[in-house]
Amino acid sequence: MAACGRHAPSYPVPPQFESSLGLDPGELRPAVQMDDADADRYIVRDISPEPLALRWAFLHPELRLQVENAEHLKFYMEFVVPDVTFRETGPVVVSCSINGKLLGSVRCPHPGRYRFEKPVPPGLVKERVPVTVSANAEPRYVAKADKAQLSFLLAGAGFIQ
Amino acid sequence: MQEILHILEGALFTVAVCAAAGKLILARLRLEFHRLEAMLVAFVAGAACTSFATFFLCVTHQARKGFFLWPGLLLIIWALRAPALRRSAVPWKPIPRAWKLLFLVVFTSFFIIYFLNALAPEISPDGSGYHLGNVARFWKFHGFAWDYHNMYSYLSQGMEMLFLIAFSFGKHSSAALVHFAFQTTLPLLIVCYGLRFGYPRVGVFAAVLIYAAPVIGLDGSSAYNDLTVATVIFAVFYLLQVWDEERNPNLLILIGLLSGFAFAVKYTAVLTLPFAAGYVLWRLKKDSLRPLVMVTAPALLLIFPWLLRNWIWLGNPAAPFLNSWFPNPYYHPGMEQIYLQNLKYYGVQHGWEIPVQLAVRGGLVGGFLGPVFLLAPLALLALRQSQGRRLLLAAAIFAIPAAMNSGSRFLIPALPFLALSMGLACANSSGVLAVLAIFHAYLCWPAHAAWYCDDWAWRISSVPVQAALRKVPETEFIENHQTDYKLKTLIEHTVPPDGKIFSFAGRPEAYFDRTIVTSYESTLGNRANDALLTPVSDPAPTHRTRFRFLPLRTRRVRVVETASASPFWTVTEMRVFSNGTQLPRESNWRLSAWPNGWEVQLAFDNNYATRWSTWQAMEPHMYIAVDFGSVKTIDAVLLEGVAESQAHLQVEVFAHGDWVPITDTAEESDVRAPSGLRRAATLELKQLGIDYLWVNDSDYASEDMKKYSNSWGITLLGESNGTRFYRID
Repeated sequence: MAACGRHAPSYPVPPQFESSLGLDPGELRPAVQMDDADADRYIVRDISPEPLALRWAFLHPELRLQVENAEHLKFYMEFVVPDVTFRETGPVVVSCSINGKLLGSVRCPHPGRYRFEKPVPPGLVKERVPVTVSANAEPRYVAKADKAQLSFLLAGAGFIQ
Repeated sequence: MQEILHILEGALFTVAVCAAAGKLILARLRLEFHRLEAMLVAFVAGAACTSFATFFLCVTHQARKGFFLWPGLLLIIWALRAPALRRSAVPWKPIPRAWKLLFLVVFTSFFIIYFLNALAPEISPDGSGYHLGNVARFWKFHGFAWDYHNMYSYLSQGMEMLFLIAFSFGKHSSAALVHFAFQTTLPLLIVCYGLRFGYPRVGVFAAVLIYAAPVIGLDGSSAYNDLTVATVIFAVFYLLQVWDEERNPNLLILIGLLSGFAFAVKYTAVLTLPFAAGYVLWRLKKDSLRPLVMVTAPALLLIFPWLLRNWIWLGNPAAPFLNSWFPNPYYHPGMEQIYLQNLKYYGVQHGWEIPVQLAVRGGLVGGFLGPVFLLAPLALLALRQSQGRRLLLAAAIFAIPAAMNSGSRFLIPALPFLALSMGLACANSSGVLAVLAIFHAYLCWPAHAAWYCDDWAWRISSVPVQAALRKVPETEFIENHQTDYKLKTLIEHTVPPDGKIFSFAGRPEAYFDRTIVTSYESTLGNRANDALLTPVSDPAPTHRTRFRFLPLRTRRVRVVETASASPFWTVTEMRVFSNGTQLPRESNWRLSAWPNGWEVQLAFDNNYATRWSTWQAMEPHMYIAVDFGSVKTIDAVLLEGVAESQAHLQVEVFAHGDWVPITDTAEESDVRAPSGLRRAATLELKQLGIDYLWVNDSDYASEDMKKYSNSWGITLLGESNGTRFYRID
């Protein structure tokens, strides 16, 4: 039992709430792996739809991502240049763009797994605004049967801090 | 059978204790009554004293069966051994034989229906909700639960004190039967009134009108308190008329006692004491304080305990009302305002629909009185007689609370006066009274009322003989009428005894041995409700109001409201900046606000699902302030929250012993809603000690919770008939 006067007393600062509580429905994460259950939500175009850990990237593979905090960001992309295409194309140069602006490229002189990682210039990515990331491989494998162009096998991509 | 015996034992014992206490009071006051009226007045007066005594048992946490049983038995024995009461010598005009027969037939027929409904398991909304919810809590804690905060637990609970005695023997139905006893008393008292004052046919007519009225039928056979209020108020009026004739000063003590009891039963009877005191002053026509004191002192004796309890417990003697006069952390003034506005709402399109709703349809006003009450304007003809004028004055005064609540049951206290006035108005028209009384009883018979009332009107629609005799299991009957009850087993197995469940809507808490926090019933409920609705509300807390000013050094800064407008002023977060960087919130800061300073921390917790709110309309001088504990250089203040165009704010700093306005120029902008609001909301509930959600499909956030339970961080534990029960992970 506590009687109270007309005015409340003053109070100290309460414990501060940790605001990064994950996503609201419909929101995008800053990174995606191709075997994520919701990976299809991140694909804009030219990435094969099979729910596998490695998916074929075709002519202009493009993803969309979103970050909570845009400070000190690095972009990464993990991919595989398979034997089957390397035999035809030889060394491949894979370049990555963010919102259409070239971020950088990596040369792949032999078949195998690669990781592209590079700091993102300030201002290129905005907080909580969807951002498109795209890749371009030169040269690409062209299938003889249907003329389909295969760039590489994509494992995942995203932003880290 | 054993169960029924316990139920009847509890009700009969409570009624017997009341009657015994009343007999001793009447004897002590040396009052003279006729046999029937003595019994009725004794019961009502004794109820006042029994309730008063139970209050103190609840305060001292001694509300135990033994404390009811043994003193109660002693009281009954004492009363039985006491000499018979003095008989009044005033002759009664006999009731004509045909009228006696009419009354006996109607009274007996409806009595059986009401009795069986009262005996059946309690399923009324308020009875199984807060009336018996409070009683079950008193029983659990053997008295008042001081750490339980709910607006319904702040109301005066004179009737609940009587329920508690009965409940301790036979649980819910026992309590309902105590209310049924008052329901039975009222028509008999009305008949007595007619007999005593020379209008036997009018008395019987009014008694039939009252007793057969469908809203009185169901209300009186449920664990409500309206029939008690009506009976006590009518008894006060009755005794005032007796006093007017006999001028026995001891009657004034009894009148005072009952006036106080009326308030103790229900706040809406607050006018009883002024009415009684005013009547006495008017009839005395002389300046003497003594009669006034004789009425007022016993009344205050019964009124003050409730006011004092609330004042000490909550800081508001009139809780849950007048919260803006007596601010407290337990109930928001704004919630009180919203609650009262909702009670007033009829939902009709035209004013003329109200009398039709009240008398015939009943669907929008929670029950109806019977079509004969459409003739109520005839009562004005009673103004020709002095008795009629008094009755109509009483009807007008005791109908006032009905203006604040659209429920037809709030008219019940005024109905005996109205019915008697109607009877007086038609008394000289031979046969009219009888025809109207028979017609009313016929139309109000439960099977016949269905012909004309709204399907969903609150009324007795069946005679649950099997359930009353417990041939249908109690659980089955309650489940069929209270679908929430189906979750009882799950909830009581899942939720720990001290666990809290949040619900947007009210629940039959009398049947759940767990604490249910309802959205509108407490500040805790308001806070949980606010947090849960923030993620799904439009607008979201995405608006920024930034005040920039030249750097200055100060120890205290505040933002002050300068506008008057009806919306509440709310602040989700308040941030202070220096040179473009937010000042880190330090442990030596002191936060304050007015009004509702108790919740100021919600604007400084970095949680966008919570907010500080004035919880009352915007007014100049409302503020939210920070004392840094030491002098700081600051150059901007940022308020985040829901945009409110009617607010006009200015930043002030404390300098040279006074608050100095700095700027009222704000930069307004909007940002995207922060992520994770759903989870932030449910974590806030956990912080408030609430680990479970009980959501109806019709609740605003229900669909979102169903669809995105992962984002909310909740797990569905069970569902039944459009309600879902979740655990907050």
